[in-house]
Amino acid sequence: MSTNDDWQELVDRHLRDELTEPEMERLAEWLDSNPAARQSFVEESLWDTRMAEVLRGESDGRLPEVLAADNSSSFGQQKSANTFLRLLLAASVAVIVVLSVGLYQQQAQAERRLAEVQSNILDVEFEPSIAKIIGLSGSLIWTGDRGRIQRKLEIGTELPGGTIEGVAPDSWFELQFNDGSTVMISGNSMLTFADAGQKVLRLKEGSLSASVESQPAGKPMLIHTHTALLHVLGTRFDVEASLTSTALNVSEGKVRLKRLSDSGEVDVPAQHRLIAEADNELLPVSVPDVVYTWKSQLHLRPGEYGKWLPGNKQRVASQKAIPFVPQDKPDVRLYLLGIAARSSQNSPVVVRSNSQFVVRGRLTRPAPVYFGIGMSQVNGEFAGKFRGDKANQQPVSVLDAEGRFEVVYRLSDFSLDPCVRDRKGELPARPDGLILNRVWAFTSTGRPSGLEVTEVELIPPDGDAPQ
Amino acid sequence: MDSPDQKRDRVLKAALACRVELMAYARSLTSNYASADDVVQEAMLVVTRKYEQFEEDTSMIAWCRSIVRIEVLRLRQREQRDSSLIRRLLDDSIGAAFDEYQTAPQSDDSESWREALERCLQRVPEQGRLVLDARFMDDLGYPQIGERVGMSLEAVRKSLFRVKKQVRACVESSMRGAE
Repeated sequence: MSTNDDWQELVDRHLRDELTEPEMERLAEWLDSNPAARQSFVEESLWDTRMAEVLRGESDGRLPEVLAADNSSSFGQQKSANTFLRLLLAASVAVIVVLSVGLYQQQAQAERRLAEVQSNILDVEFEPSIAKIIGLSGSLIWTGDRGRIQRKLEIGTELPGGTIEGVAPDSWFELQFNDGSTVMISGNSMLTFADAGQKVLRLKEGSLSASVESQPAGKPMLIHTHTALLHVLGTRFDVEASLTSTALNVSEGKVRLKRLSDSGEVDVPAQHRLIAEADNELLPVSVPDVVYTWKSQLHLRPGEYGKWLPGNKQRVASQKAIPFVPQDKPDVRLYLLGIAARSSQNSPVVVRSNSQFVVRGRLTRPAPVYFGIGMSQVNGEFAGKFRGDKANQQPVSVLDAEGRFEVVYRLSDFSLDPCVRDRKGELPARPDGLILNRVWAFTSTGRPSGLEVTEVELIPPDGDAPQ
Repeated sequence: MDSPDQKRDRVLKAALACRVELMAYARSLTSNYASADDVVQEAMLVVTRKYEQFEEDTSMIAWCRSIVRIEVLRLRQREQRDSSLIRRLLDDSIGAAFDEYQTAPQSDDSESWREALERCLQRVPEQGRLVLDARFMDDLGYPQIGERVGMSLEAVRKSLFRVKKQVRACVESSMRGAE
């Protein structure tokens, strides 16, 4: 049988509850990663259902004649005696009777039943908590079991599992499991987590840092990404997941990584990192020395948030800001972009005192450009977000004839971002000596500014850049 | 402006026209025809009660899907079935796929499809029809079908997919001819 037949068989078996868990996982991964698979799945499901309906002699779903505008048909002409139509008919007739005779009490009763249904839908019982939020900022969405969606999250909130999504470059979220293990996501990341005796996480995209307590024997913490499965017994590490690769950086302990494409496995020890892609060798390498300079490489890869405009002969590549409405300020519309800070050798980028950031880009109309940086400690722990425009009020950027601007932000002007000031006591007051994870820029003039960043450069103090 | 009766009839008619599509969605989430049928029935009853909440100029099929999704969750609650993490993730992926790609049926479409499908199924040889009936009507697995029709498991697989492919080709060809 061909690959197409295999795919059809997978869908056929899924519709009949015949898939094993690994097959379900494979199906989910295909659907997540491949638009053609999503489209085909919907088509195959419909096709299979049409076949089933016809073979079972079910109704084609045409409106019972009593409800149609044309009342000429009789019920006797309905093809099947299926329960669906009978139920629907009964309900519809009941509704018509209620409406036509206008019995107020019956209406009230129906409304009470409706309210009961809605109440049942909304007041679903909560499962026992498996973890609580110990830190958060920026825009986040939590989707719990049974599809509950919650945007207003607070420190101390107990969660029974679910999916947490950071929806802006400055989002971060830290969760502590009942055994003391902590995980943190930052930037545009999506993490699903559960703990039914064994912690199972799925990092669909983005960055995760974890500090994991010793796990029960035979029940390591499992972290799924698009490309790999991590087995964690107790350690500190960072993971960055995308559709095509998983980058693992282990600070303490050991993490076993299994690449899904070929089932290749490798143990990554402390102070080592590994990038698992489809074709590369699974060889952990020592965490490289830090670097003190960094330049965005938008000509090679997209930024993290916003719209990437690849370069061509006429124009330089850029990351374009897109509208963003902060959850806590629904009347504010920012134009925001974000870029992950990754050196060409994947070395950690450390910002030194007296360094400066140079941001180059374009605007369609003059506007102050606000700039922020997201930092972590050397061990991967979140170390705060800092703004380069707070201590030194940002002037309107001066544009040249082609709308280009260049703004310099001195590290000495950076201070903690207001959104993490409630953790002032536990976060470093300044970004000096910390690892740079990402940068973001935005305008806030209430209307599109056409903000595009073509390059961000971290320049260390004069003569201080190590080779 | 519509009277409540007119709006109710219009909403119900539009919702019913999406029934097969909603069955496909419900089957994808429940992996069981009978459960999907129950879910869609319940969803249609919710539509009859809540038709006033449907906002004109929004997608009927998307509105109905959201009701179906809630009914699937309620069904699991009733049956006290806890979904595994993988199943929940798969449900999310399926939900996203349907949100992205499922469209409302054209009014003539489902009628023509059904007629073409009925015609094409009549042309399936007896052995193939037995396999189809066992799979689609009785929900049997490959080994049970093999036992019933006296075929090996592999022969059942091949026969099932060959017949499905032939029927589909026949339907698509007759739909193209009708255009």
